[in-house]
Amino acid sequence: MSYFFQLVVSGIVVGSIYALSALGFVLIYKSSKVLNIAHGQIIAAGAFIAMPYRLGGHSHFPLLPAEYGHYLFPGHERGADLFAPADRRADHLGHHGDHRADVHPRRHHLLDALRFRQLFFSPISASNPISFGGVSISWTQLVGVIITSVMIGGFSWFFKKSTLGISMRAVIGRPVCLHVHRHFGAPGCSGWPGPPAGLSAAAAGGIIGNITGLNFETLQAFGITVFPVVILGGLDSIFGAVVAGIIMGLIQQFASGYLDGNWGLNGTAEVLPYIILLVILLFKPHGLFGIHEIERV
Amino acid sequence: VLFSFSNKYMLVIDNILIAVVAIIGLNLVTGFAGLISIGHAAFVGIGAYTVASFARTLGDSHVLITHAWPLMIVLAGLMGAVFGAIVGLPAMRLKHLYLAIATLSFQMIFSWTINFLEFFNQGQTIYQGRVFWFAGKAGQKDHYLFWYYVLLVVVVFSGFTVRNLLRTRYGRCLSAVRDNDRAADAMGMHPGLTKVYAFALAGFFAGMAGALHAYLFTGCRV
Repeated sequence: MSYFFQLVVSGIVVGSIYALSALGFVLIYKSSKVLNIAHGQIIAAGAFIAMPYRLGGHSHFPLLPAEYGHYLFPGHERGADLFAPADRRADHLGHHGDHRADVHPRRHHLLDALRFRQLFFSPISASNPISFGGVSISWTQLVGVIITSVMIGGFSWFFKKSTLGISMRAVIGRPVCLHVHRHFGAPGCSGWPGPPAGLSAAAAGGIIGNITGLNFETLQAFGITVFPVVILGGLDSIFGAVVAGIIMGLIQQFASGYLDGNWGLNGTAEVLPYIILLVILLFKPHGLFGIHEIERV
Repeated sequence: VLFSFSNKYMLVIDNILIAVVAIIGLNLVTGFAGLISIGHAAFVGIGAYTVASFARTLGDSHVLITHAWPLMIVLAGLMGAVFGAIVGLPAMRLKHLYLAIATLSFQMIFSWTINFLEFFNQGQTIYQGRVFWFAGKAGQKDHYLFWYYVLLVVVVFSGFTVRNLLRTRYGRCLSAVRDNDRAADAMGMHPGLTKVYAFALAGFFAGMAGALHAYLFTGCRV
């Protein structure tokens, strides 16, 4: 029985990360009807960007938005030096010289990771995994789940309650509205959900990188699984993304826990989500919580 | 001699022509019927593995494979059509990205099945024998040139078939359903059936492309 609960716990851990990455996809689709097929790439980028910080001997968990800021918000903070002229860039780097110094000798690690080698992050905390009634969860997983829930909650609050979030929802995908909005002095917003969506995806990549280690194939498989998650939840439902993410995580853990190794099966975790997705789509063609299109005659 | 290309370049040309056959099918389902199919490669795989399953059961140089290869290519196309129709069934209920991901699911299930089943050598290479022609065996030296001519015939034949098909009611109903399936329904067409039929047609061309690919590379693997 403890095996079952162990699978449930790891299913929820993986599922919540799926939920976080699906959240970004849904945010973009919901607001602009754009399908961001390259979402998996942002997830992978998040993992790879998080890596030098973790390898550089920094002990903090690499999921602070500040770390992604330079990637997601070009023009702010360190992102500026990517777009600055060469002399300014060198100048800028000078300020961070001590910071970069300990990353630089490890640059060969970065290349190693790109050569398809498994690469592990240093663990968050040296202490043993938390064990409760035969079910154990590592600190990395626990911190990952907590950060995931906080981010999902934060994004929901941001888009439903905050003035900036509401303004974004109001003007997103409607350029004329955006101009009117700015004219009347509403809080400045870009009208493009890319940054928050990219932030959630990159954070998901950072968490998955911390849990499973950096492996190109793992990240790729993870990125592809986000599609069935989004479809299962319904394309334009944040709540659906969360529920479907956890369902997919549970399915994968149960498949690899109970099916693999029996009846000569293996790798069922890769295929079972798709089979279940097809079955559910037969009954719910718009996913679990998707909006039904009303066709007016 | 019309062409004095080396085998290296003939292989590239052959590959292009195989892609053309497959794309003719994809153009039917995505271009004319407006159904986005991400799983088209799986239909190509179905065609290749139809030939491969004959090679597995009868041996790779059975007369059916080496001599009756035009039949095998058509058979692979029909097999692709059957699977295309099965994959097309969700199209009766699903639309847009939901349908696209359903086809992606089929692709995932297909590649997992090939990698899993011992019958398909778990995705490792399954060899096909070289084929015979009126002039005898198409040997290693003439292999790519021989398949170039076969492919040329297949491409021209497929192109004209599709061109003519689109002038009949069976072709026009594809674009009618794409543009407005309600209106097509009102005109007496069956939108659901048309979508399944579009997938079957696409599967047919993809299956033929797959069989040609298997023959060209004298084997197939995932």
